[in-house]
Amino acid sequence: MLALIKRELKLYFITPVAYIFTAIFILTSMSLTFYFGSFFSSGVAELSIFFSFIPWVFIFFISAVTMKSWSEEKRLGTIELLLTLPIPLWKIVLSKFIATWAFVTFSIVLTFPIWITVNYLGNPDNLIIIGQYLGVILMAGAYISLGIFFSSLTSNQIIAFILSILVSFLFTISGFPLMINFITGVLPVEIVELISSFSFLTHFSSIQTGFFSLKGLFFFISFIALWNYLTILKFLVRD
Amino acid sequence: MLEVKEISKNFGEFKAIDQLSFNVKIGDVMGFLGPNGAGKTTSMRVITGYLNSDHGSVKINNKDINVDPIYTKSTIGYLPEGVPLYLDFSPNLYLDYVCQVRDIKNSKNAIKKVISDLQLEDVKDVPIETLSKGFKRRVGIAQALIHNPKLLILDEPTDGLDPLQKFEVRKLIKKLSKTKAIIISTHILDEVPEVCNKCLIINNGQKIFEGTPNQLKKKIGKTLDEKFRKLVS
Repeated sequence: MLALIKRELKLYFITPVAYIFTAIFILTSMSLTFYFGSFFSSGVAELSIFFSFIPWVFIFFISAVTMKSWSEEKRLGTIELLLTLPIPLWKIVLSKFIATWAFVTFSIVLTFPIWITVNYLGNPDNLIIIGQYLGVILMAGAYISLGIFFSSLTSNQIIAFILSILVSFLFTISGFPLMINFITGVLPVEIVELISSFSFLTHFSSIQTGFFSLKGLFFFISFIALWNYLTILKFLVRD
Repeated sequence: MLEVKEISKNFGEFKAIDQLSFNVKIGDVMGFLGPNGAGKTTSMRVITGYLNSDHGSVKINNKDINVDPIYTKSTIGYLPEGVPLYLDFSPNLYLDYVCQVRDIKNSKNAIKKVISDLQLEDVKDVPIETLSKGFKRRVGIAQALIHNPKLLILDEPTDGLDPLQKFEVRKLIKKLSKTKAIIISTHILDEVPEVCNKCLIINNGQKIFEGTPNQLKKKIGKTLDEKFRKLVS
């Protein structure tokens, strides 16, 4: 399994694509924070503004990273070699997930200059920031598991990309205050609560305080497990 | 070694394989023939465990591919149709990856051996993407051979090779056949008597001939091409 993970990572870094993706992720998240988040004028030494943009950046960034995961294997036909290896299917699926998660974590870690900046400008609670970073990494896992599933459905990367953006967007926006206010007027409270309980934002906001709530942790871990399971199922029931 | 019993595979209404049975033992080189769409590739995909059959069983060393897939897959070396490869990798890097996933001890020697057997020395560090069709095919054969499998399944192994390369690959197959069971699908009928000691012709997913290349010739006489055309038309 380690060999599979290593190969996946090599596939990312053997071409400039991984570096370009990482650079775009860092630039986008930083510029959103500085230009739209009024990072400096807020006058507070913390990273909440930065982290509040991350889910929206993830929708595009992670969908772009995961789109070729299985689609490319299908297009090239290498999926035939991969699935005829003497390795259990779950290990093959999981190794793709872990490698992508490691790559995205690498990109997230590279945003550390903003952490240095707040420490230089003030005295933030670094424990909270570490908690927020861990929360973001966990949430990234949820977006990745979803993106990889949609990549397993098609040999067309663009279709995988669009499907992943669409579904990630729905899982993100369902907890957005504007969206909640809108559906509160239309749907019964129980259903509104149910919809918002599936939102990344709802669970992420509890993590954003820097402290993992068990509920948030459980949500993201089961979300990751579910989508990976769906990917395994997809290949189990193949012709 | 390999026991295929009454396998069938449908894609919707289309019958890709219909009650196909055959056996292959060590020392056999079976030429798998048939027109395009006859079910050759689908059969190979079922045997290698890439596709599930709707009916029938495939056993390798008396072990069912659905009951013990890890064992059966480890005994197979497979060159799929079209030679899919990771194009950004070099042959060396790719073969090293195959060694790692297949948990091959002494991978350096294994890589060295297949690189020498398939004459890949000159291109071993070049991205596969830039290689010619012939070299790509040889890298594909190399990855199928690297773990010294007992059952070798090659979907058109000599397609795209020049005459000299074809000769080398046929020579290699002959050499390997002493210790392995080999199935080769091919469109080149002349290849059959040269490398195969057994041949199986299928059409519309059904077996229409099984025997030695000589029996095939005797049955209708004249050339294999004529016989083939007659059988499948």
